[in-house]
Amino acid sequence: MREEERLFSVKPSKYAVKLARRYGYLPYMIERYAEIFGEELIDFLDACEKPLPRSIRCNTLRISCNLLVERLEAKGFRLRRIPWAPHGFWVEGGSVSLGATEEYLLGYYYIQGAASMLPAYILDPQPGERVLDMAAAPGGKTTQLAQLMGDTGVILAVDISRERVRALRSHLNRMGVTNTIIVRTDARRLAAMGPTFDRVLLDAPCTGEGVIPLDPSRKRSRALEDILQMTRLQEELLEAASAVTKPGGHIVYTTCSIAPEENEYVVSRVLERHPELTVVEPKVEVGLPGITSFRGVRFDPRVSRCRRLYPHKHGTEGFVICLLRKH
Amino acid sequence: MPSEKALRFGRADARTAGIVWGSLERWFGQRLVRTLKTRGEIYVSSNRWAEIYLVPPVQVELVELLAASTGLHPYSAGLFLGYLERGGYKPSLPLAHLVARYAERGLVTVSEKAASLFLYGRDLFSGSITGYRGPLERGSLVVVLNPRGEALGYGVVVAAPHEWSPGSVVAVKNVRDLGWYLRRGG
Repeated sequence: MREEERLFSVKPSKYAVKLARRYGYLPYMIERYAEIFGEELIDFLDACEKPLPRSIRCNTLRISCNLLVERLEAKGFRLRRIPWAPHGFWVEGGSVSLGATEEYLLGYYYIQGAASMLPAYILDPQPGERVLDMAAAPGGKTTQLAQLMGDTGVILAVDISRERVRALRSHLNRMGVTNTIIVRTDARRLAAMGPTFDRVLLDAPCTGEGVIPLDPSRKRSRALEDILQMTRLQEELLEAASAVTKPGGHIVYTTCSIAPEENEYVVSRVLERHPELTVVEPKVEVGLPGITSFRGVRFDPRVSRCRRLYPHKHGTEGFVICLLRKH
Repeated sequence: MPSEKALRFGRADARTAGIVWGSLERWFGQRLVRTLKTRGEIYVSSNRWAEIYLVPPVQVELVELLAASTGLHPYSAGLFLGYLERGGYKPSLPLAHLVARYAERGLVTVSEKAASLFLYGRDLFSGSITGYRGPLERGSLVVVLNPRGEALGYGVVVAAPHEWSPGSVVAVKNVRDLGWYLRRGG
């Protein structure tokens, strides 16, 4: 049987069907989760039933993190540092919405999932560099890249959706980011630019299988066929990312999906065609290793250097992050 | 929905640049204009409105490469300075932050309570104004600051200081405040 057939023809067991009924999922999802999580399956499903802790990233382009903490605590919020995110805080309490404080309007923080702060840290953009953000809206990671670059150099932030591009610009304006060019287009078109960028962030469009704690409708909204279609787009986008990265440059490929099909499989297939690319171990102390085989399909062993985050293990949305280097 | 090709992003002509620099100098003084001019050149994006950006050379280079290799024009770049409307220039919210830092005039500081109300789109009463920089004349544009000197948005003076009687006069009419980001998405 071909790899794709093995990955995308799932026959759920009676146990998977029973659990799917109990937790409200489509059975094919549970069947796959059973392989990913093994004995931790129930822990994962239970964790997806609970809301995630709120988190913010302080914007050091506008304020020091200590001063922001002081100001928000004076308003009744309680903040706790996220160990792996130098500018990240979990937030509890507060009598007003986090999205309506004076500090929010002044651009002093961005409301951002804890796991979604990791890709920018892993990409590690430097001041003065040229960086591409291929699916940028609404701008959490773009504004974080700009912050890490001290608002110097240049970021090309791309998104295809008109509405989302408006939101992206609004967040850039609010947070005082000026080193960014926004382009509304299909990021695959940028391959024509050639090897231009020092670093590329591809937070790829995905089926959102990692954000079930935030969007329970995802338990039933996507068929396996949708995942297959998505992997084709993801591969094409990663191909484009490779085309525009300078030799010696880095790419972060990430999704908010825990599906191995949308992550390690996509990366493996692109690695197969691109000997100039390799997966690099990120310098972060969080996350589990990438999955190297799934449903009988063996992936490129280098994808074990990817990082996986899960709600039941890390208290975050589900996320997979792979750092690639182009030789 | 305008197509990508309908977007045009190019260097502003001398007349447009003159309107922008002239307006900023009139409202806020020379120091702001001098500072901005060191950071880049004025570009105009002609979509539905003529939007004005200050684009540094490092970005101009990439904008040109983008256009040459893909035919695409940016949606925005650099610092959003505002837009042109009926021949006049309207400054942007992100610019207010720099105005607060570099303006020699056109700044009004208000009490904590008035600052909160201003962020909900309310006008400012004379009794809530705790200080101002430069002469305030009827019709002049000002940036409104909270007691910590943080820019909250723009207002227009509708009563000059000699017309103020504490607590009773609307002195500055709200033009645009940071609450815009929530109400309209900026």
